[in-house]
Amino acid sequence: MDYFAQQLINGLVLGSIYGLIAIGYTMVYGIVGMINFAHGDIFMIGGFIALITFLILVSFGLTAIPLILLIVLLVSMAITALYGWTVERIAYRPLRHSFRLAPMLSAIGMSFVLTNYSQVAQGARVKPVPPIITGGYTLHEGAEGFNVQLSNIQIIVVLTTVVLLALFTWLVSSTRLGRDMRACEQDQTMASLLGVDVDRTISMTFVIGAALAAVAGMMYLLYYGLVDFFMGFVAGIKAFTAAVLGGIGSLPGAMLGGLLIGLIETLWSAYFSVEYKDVAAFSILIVVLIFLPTGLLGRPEVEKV
Amino acid sequence: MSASPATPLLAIRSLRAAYGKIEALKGVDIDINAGEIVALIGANGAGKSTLMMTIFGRPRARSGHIEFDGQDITGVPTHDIARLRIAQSPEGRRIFPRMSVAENLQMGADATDSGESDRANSLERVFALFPRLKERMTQRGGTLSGGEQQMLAIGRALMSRPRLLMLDEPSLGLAPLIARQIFDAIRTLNRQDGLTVLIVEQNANHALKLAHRGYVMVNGLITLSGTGNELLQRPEIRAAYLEGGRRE
Repeated sequence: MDYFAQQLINGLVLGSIYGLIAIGYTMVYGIVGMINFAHGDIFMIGGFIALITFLILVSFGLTAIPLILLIVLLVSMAITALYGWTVERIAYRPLRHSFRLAPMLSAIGMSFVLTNYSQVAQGARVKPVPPIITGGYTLHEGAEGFNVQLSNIQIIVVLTTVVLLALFTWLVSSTRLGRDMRACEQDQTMASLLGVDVDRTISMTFVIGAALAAVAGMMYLLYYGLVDFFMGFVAGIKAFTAAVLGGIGSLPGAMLGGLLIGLIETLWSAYFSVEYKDVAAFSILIVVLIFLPTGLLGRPEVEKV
Repeated sequence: MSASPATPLLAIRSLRAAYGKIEALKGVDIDINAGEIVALIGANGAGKSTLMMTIFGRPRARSGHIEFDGQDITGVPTHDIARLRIAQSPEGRRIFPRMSVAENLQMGADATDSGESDRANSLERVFALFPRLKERMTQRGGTLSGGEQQMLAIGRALMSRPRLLMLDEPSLGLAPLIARQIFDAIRTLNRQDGLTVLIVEQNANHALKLAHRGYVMVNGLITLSGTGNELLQRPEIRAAYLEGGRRE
């Protein structure tokens, strides 16, 4: 039971990271109807920028950890958002009125570009960081010496995710930008007839998605203590799986899917095989696509009056 | 209004537009003066809806000019045209099905950055015309009946306090009683607030009785124009659009 509780905690933390990335997939799909395959690499870029910002701040002699983390978070979100904006601008917008597959192919190309650019610029080796946030709590002392632990970094990951999700939900449901985004998702032509700048709204969607992915990248860095140029690929596909599982286009679905994929992967690793954890996650993708193509919270494709 | 009485609020000159290779507008001239209700009638596929959309730049005009209040808007981006307070209740209504009625109306108000008091006034005006919408404020647009959706589409257009209101087939698919309510609402808006209206209709009888002036469109060209009454008397109009003929 203790072991299971521990895995639940671990799965929840991993699921939070997946969920933050999955929101970017599902938002972009909702508004422009394409899968942004470069989104996983945007997450990777976010991790790198967090690392670089961290090292710069430390080399300046900054020691207050909470201040460092806050600056790293903001810088990483801002610069990664710029990457997201740029990717849309140069790789997707020119293809907006092209055939449906074109931006998807362009996205895969963009993913390779970002991966290789990071490899060239930052090197192929894994970049470790010493543990920045240490300590934690023992929730329960087991009889056989197994203790259920909740580390501070886990608390921070989950809390940050909850706060960001609350902010993001408020943005989408109650602000002008959120309303414009939903209008563009439902009927771009009508939105423009009502004065909505569709191009700008789509850009903002990429910016917000990238900023959330940057937070995920930073959390990944803090939690696992490393980044590498290839980490966007697997994490990206897992988050994509999460978005599909939750119902692509659905924002609560993305978060739910993220948590489920995180839990499934963690529990599979804990009880069956660590080596095959990716197989578990991707089997879910295949099963969902075959038997539940609209996902858990997605809506049926046909909805024209 | 800053336009002098001589210049029309909307002036369309030799406008051509096409979808791909299919030319939908083949040189259209139309004037709409401030304070007028102008009806555009014609059969299915004549290009009436295309004309309304081309005023908004969707599709872009191939040639010709569109001037609103003396300003050439032929090449202005669609969303900036909306900001000039031209509003449209388009073909098919196009309400946002997964937004509440309140949000749909708010989208209309957002179009012109109206202040809080303007927004409240517009909302009162919409509720006065269509009390039904008030009861439905929290309901999703997609769950409304056809008539309610039509009211919502018109209400949304009114929320931007338009200087020119364009209505595409406001009576399409509605029960006669509701259609009459909508026509009455348009007449009220015109008489009380001096609202300028361009109305596209297949229901020529209703539209021409409502309108000060009318244009008849056939295959992308204006073939006739005149006051509403004049057009109603013309035998060819009666034959084509009023007495059976190609009416839907």
